[in-house]
Amino acid sequence: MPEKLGGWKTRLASYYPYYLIIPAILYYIAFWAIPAASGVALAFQGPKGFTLRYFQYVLRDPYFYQALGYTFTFLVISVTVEFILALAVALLINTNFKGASLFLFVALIPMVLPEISYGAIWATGYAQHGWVNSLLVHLGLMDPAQPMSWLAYGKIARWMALLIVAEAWRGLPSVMIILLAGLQGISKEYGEAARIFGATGFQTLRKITLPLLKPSIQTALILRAIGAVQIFVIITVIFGHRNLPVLVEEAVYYFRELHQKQLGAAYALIIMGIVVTLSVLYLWLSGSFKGEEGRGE
Amino acid sequence: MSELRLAPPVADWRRFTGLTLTYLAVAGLALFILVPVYFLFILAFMSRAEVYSWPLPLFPKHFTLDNFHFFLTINPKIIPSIWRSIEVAITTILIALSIGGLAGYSFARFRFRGKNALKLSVLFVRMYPGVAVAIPMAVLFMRLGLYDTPFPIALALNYGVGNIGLTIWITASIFLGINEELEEQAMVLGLSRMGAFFRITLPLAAPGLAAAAIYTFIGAWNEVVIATLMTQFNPTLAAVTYHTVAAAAGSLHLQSAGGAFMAFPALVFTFIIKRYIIQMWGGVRI
Repeated sequence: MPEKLGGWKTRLASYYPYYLIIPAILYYIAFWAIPAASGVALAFQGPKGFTLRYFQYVLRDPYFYQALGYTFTFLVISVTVEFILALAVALLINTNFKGASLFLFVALIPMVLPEISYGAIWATGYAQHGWVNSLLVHLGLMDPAQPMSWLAYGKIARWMALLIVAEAWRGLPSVMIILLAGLQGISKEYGEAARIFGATGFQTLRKITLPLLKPSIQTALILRAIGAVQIFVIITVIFGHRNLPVLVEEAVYYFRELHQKQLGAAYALIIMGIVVTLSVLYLWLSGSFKGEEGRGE
Repeated sequence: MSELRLAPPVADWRRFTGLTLTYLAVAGLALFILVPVYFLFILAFMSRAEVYSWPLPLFPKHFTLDNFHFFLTINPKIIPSIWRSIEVAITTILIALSIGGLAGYSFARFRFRGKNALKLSVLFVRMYPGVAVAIPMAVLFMRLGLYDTPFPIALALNYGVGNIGLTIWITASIFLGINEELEEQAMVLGLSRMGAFFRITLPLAAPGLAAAAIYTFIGAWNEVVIATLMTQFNPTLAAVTYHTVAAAAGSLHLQSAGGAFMAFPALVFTFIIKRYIIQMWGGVRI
């Protein structure tokens, strides 16, 4: 009798891992899967059933092409700039130096600051009598009689440059931390071996360090790209609404300002398509699809 | 002999340049990060006359809270929205820690079928764009009559999704760091698995769980886009500050006060849990 009870108890206990994850799964179904699926339905559902009219509307909207163009221009340039600078900095500081932990806290600041604070920093910075110009005057780099008007309307190329600087402020430290973590995982012996065999610093970097750093580089690039596709708050705070339209702004605009739920959903679906493509690429490159079923490896 | 004498100076020179470059890079990046934050805060604390002087002083002489007072009273929604933001953040923490914590424990302690698919789903859900869930979720909650309620339950439930994933990830790494043998010994001594968890593991995990809770708080406090989509007349502080700051181009005193006010909790909490955040970004994997 006790033996039987034991068997029953063991059986019950073997389901333990599932009991513990069932709440999470139910939650995901209720508040993620159902909304996500109904978002797809929303974008394709007209008054008389299935329709493509919302997407046709989006494809006829000149703002859509602008938004798409600006979003991707921003993505490509800002991710490239951040990556190159962050890699340079990470390589330079990949040693144990005094004050490293304080420095890491400083590097965390832009990552954890609210987007509004981030927007306020650069909106007050780029204003004609803002802190960027003031700093340049104090440094003797600008004539106080002729402050630069950074935000002059319609100078899209200049705006893009300003946006990339602001975004570098926010994104560069996070890319640097990911790369630094990767660099610290690389055994110093590889570099020493390369040096003994006569490799120059540049050769070591190109043939040893960068290939070993590849997983971290992929992580950093794709995470930044996913973030860049969804840029929105900072743009409206600095440049105003729809002056430099981007995809998320259009989704929010149609949904919230015009109460066109289906158009908002259509835009959201387009953003989703881009982000999911990037995410799957990331998961595939990082080898997550062929991971072992193990106990917390 | 001459070779021997030459070698050390060369090595020293290399080490010296290396260190110099390191410190230059560190100082350069630290300045690039800190100067803008410094200006946000001094602008927020400057007197109105100083904010609109040209060029702006590098070191303000008159510190005042007037700008914060102006920001907090410019819109009657702001004060109630502070409390609402805290409510939403605490609800999110409760959801994330209870549901995510259970799953995180399961991930850390057990080997089971479908674990990898689940890990993958968690990552995928985390990366899924917020707008693509928030818009349809707002529509669903409108039908239920739960959209833009005084306590924005829809918003907290939405934040729950992303934060459950994050909490699974964080708590799994915390529980992995606590030796399972402690639990097994407690079970040998007569505690049930549940008892061992509550009496042994949970107290040991408490600091890490607190860090996870604080991280969730920062995320919920900061979040703007979904808050904008899912609230209208009952906004969170982030949503109402966003509209205030975005509509105040050129009003440096208002923009900086709003930005600085939002930044305080995030900065203080980050300082408290900086060790954990660095660990998390440093590629702790489950």
